[in-house]
Amino acid sequence: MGMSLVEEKATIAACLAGQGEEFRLLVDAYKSQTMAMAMNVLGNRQDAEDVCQEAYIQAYRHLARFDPARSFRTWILTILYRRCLDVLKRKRRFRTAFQRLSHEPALKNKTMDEVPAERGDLARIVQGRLSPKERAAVSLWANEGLNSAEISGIIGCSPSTARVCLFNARRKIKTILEKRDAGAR
Amino acid sequence: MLGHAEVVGFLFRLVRFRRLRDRIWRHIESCPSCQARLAGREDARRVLFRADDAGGLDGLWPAVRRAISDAAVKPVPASAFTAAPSGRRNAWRWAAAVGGLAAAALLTVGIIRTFMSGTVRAPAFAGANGGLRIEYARIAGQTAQTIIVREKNPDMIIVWVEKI
Repeated sequence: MGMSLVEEKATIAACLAGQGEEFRLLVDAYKSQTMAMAMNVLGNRQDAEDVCQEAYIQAYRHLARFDPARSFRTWILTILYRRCLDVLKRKRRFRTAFQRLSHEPALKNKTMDEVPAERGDLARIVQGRLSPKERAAVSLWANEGLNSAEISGIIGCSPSTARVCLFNARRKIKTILEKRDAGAR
Repeated sequence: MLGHAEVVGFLFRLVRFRRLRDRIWRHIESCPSCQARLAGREDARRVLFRADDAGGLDGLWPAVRRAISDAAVKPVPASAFTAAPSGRRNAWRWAAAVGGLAAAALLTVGIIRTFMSGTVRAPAFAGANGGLRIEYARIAGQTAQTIIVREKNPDMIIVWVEKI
């Protein structure tokens, strides 16, 4: 599901005019796409849900700064990617600080029961082999059909660097699938 | 021996000149041998979470709505994003830097005094034997990330609360 640029602009104008409820249209239009992207970058449903929520709240707060020449989808994915990086950075910092201690998150992660087991396993392998930037790039390319120029705008690099990320990600995925298929034979 | 696709891939990652890299990329896009070494969109979708894995996400809008109906969260007017005059901006930067240094100095003094005096006060917490559970924590009215750290020593639980 998505919205045309005209619909997006009308909805954003309504929100800025004080009709906050209209923001629901934008959330509903892009929630699945943003959630998929967050899950691919973070590999964890609970964190992905939190990050999506924060990204939409941040987008709402900064609606006046939205550039009407861009699509809302690109904008929300850009915000979301930055929030995902913040979460990964925070987790890394925490792990470094408390490496010797056993820890448990205050909120237990929800399971990935809704994802088919085979794909869930592969997704976990991908999480381990690809960098966050590569995961974001390949997710945007495969799921959203974006090209390297559009991806570069979201992950904040040059199109040339986005191509390298995409190239590395696709090569690694190919290797993972080949190894898996060879093992299945 | 390296094959054609491996050599091209190696060069693509090695070359730093944008024009040359773009030329190699154009080759990769049109060369069947190079494409065969890369996962296609369908292959990638086999290993990625997709929009249809996201589930109903019925709770997302109510949560966003609760947050944005809070008086503190309103769209910031466009005028707020215009750049401040550079003099004022510099003054703010200086103020922030001085404030940060002062806070760091206070923290350092506090830590030194605590460890020098040898009296580290243990934080009181309830129900440690039965497990500690924190529903949520807020910093300055905003929901904060909470992580509970339990060391092997059962008498100590560290609660890490960090501003999101």
